[in-house]
Amino acid sequence: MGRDRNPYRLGFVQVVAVSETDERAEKEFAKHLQAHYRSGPGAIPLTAMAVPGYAEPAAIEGMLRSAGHGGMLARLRTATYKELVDSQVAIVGSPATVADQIEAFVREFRIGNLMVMLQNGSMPRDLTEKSISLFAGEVLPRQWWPRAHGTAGAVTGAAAGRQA
Amino acid sequence: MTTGSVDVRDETVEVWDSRLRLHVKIAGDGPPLLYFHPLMGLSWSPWLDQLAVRYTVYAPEHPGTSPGDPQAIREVQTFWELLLVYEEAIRKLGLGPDRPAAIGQSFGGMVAADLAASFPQVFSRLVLLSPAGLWRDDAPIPLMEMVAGPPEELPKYVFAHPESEAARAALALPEDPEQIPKAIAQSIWNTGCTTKFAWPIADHGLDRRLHRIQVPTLIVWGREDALVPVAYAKEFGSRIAGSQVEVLDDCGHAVQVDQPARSWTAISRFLGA
Repeated sequence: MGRDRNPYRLGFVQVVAVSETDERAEKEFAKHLQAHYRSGPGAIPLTAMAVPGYAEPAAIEGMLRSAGHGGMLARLRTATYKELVDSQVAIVGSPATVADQIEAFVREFRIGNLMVMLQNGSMPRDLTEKSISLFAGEVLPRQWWPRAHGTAGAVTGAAAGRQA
Repeated sequence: MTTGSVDVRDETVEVWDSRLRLHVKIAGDGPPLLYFHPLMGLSWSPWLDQLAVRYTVYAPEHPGTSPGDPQAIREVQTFWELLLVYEEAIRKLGLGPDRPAAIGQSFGGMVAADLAASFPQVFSRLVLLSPAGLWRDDAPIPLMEMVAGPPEELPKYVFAHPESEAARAALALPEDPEQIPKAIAQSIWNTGCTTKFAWPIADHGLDRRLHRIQVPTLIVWGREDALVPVAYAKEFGSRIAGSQVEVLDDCGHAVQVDQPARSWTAISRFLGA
């Protein structure tokens, strides 16, 4: 009684790219991620973002403010790799860097359903496959999920998926 | 032509099994007149001030378009429910016995025409300003192009002279830049609330009900209407017995903006007759 049975209910989508080291990640992913944000989200015309009937007034207002001078959408059009990574718009680096950052925000924002986007922009197939393999093999096994009530151990991403 | 500003008050009417508080702007003095606003919501214009000199103008705000009450639109699921909401609101405003006159503009014209057809006792006179509500394949209404297209192209659908001072004033944004996103968001939301019943084709079978309209009816259209083509003037006119059709030259969809004097003359003469 009085206890939140499952506080981790939020779903969240995160762009992620993993390489062997932080330095190598920058070398491999920088141009592809820049291309993704500059010609993707940053380039969508507002009329396509705010079609009548699809977003609440507060959300439309937020998009309009964000598209204006100095707003997030406007800034994406010229975003640099450093800005994207420092702000964690994209989480990029070695498996350890990526896992640390994901764990921190998953716990802070109590995210229970994390979706990762591992192919973005102009990223080629071989690089994408490497990023997916490193994510699955070295990041995902990290025990960042909260301990489930009534179980001894932590629930991993894969185990949580089977339970659902 | 009098354009002195009048006091406009906001009244709410509880309708639809108490699920909806419909906001109605009321102004003026004289016999009651209902005004049903177009797609983007109600904006109180000098034109309504003019009407308020001779009439008590009741201008209901389409559910969801009243600032601060966006979710009201969730309570109205179909166009038929919208008509029932308005019919109930007219009774609850105490206007039933008076049989008010009604003016409906564009989307509001579709509402007013269908109210008059569905409830033949509710209005005494009907004015339709370039109303939506009918569809002809050879005269398509570019609603989708206008609503989902670039905002800078909107004026060309609404006005014969988009660059005119009157057209610019009609679409003017707040002077305070801080208020502009809120105003744009409100008009986009409003358009979503109205197009819920007009998207993508505003045809709910009105063509088969228009014959039920029993009251004197004036249909006003701009010859250069780029949204609802003037071909529809004759479609409405031929289906409503005894109706008058007034087509204004050098005039687009918003007849009072493009031709303020001539549209006012036609409307006031008809209402006064």
